Amino acid sequence: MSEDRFQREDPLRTDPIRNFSTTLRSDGWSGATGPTDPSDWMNQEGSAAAGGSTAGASGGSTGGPSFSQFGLHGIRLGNAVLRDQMQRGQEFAEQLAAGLGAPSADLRQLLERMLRSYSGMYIDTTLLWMDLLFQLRIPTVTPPDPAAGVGPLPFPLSPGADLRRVVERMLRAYSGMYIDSLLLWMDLLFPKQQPDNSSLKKEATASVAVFSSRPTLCTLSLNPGAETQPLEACQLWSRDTTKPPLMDVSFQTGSDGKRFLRVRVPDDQPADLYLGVVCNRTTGEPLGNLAIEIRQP
Amino acid sequence: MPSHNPSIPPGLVPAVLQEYGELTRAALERYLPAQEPRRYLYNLVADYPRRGGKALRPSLCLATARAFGAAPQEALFAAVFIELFHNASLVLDDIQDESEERRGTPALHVQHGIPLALNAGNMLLLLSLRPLIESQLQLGQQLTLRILKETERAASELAEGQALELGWRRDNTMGLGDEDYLEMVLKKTCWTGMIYPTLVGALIGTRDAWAELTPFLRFGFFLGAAFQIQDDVLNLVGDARYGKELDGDVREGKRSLPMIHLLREAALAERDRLVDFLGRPRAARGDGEVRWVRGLMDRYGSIEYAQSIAAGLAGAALHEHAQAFGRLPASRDKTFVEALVPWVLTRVS
Repeated sequence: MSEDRFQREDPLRTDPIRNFSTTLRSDGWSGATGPTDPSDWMNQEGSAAAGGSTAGASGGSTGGPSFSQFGLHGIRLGNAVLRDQMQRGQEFAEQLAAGLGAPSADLRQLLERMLRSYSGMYIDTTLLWMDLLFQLRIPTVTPPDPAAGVGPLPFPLSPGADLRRVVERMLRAYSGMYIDSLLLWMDLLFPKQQPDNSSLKKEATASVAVFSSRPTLCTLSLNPGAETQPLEACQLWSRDTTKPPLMDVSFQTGSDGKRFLRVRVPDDQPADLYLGVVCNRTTGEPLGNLAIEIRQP
Repeated sequence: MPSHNPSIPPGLVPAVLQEYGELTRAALERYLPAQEPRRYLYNLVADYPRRGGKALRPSLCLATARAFGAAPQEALFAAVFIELFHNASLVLDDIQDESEERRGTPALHVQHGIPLALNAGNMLLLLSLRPLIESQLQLGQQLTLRILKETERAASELAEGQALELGWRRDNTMGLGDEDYLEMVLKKTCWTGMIYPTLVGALIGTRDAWAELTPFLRFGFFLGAAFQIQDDVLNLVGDARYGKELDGDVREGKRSLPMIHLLREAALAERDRLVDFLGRPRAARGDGEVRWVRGLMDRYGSIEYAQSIAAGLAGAALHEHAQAFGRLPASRDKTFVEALVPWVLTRVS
């Protein structure tokens, strides 16, 4: 037996081609642009691509993109579409912000006066037309012909005083509703600059004790019914993820037996707004929230 | 299929959808006028909202707000708006798409004709604004204004997305890429369906104190895109529980993701025939032709392709969920929002 064994070349691929699109026709990436290595997409695009890795199945064949690669393709495209749309939205919002401003109180009064004045003119004009119409006896109205057996018209040719009053009242009522609804919309779109205490409407059923070396504003908001439940304040977070959470927040019972919220702000805690949720200690059900704003001294 | 939290209790999503769906539907009855003209308007207005549905959108809003500690009543105004607005858009959508069924029953325009259905849809749009206007009593003017601004944005995005899809069909547009599809889906489905409910829920839950809302937007987009692609797939492979006309998207010539894939992958002669098929009016697209298109999708793996894209997007949605909700304490509502991600891929209706 010869010792020179026949050696095959290494195969170009080691897995079967299981990709339907490349099996039947050209690969499915013809329309795609950008990098062709899926790992590049994960690195190139935003945070969501990292999440895409959880979607990936086992590695595909070496002959073409696998199912998991299609998944990455979708994430990459999704990120690109989202980025473009957000940029366009931002530009549009900037344009709007440059051109819009809340009208002053004077402007609101002016608008209201203008609306009411125009509305009054409209009503007066309508009534005038009504009077004219019935005085002129419109030629297109054919008078009833008793000889031909045609009955009387279902309305008088000249309006009685009652009808005129009804029309006038109706017009004024509708016009007033219209103006009021316009003003309501205006108030909604341009709210008056006054403190908005709506978020404090819920009655806080616990006192708050804040220990802080800096000015600190604390807002506790509890849902109805929370006062009878065991409460737990979870750690509070800033929207800036690099800042540490505010940890030392807890519900305690005072010497008088009443429950209070104790907040201690460390001296090195960065100034910012911190938000957290108040839960039922046993069930974890959210029952309110807590906002603590630490200001610079 | 993306991996997901094994601690999600089975049946959580259907249970929460049912609970929040009932809460929303009970509250929205107040905004459906019981007055004349019933036969030509208000009975029609109340038809779609009373047909039920998944109530996914209002549930997403309520759950997000609650995960941040808000009481359900605080987010209920927004939830009712979302459900009424969604139903109004369905009425108009069915007319524009010439759809025959909605939730297993003939579409409103099939029952009453286009003019009355169109008018009822417009009225429902108008009525949907009432709970939002009333919400200022509970949420205050500033937060209500903020929500109204988001509402205007979402409604505009919906109209733009619908315009893209309808325009593509009218002009028999070819050469669309997956990115065109995703842009259309972002506008048409994601914004009002997932982004808006999540954003508004977060706004209410945080009293608009949390300026950084981008993670909620990103979560809504990826969840909504996965949802819509699964909808495209269900339209082709759904069973009796699906509730819409099977292969209806093919018959309507919709540029769904499987269709865009097929147009890209089909052989030249097949593509020419497909272009001709899509260029005809709906009535001229016969059953045999629809079956032929459907067979091509099987042959070219267009459905599997769409499913794999949806799985990738769902994975991204899970990641964004961690960004947006990760720092909140564990709660049923937070888990529900996370559980929606695998649910959109496994749902059958």
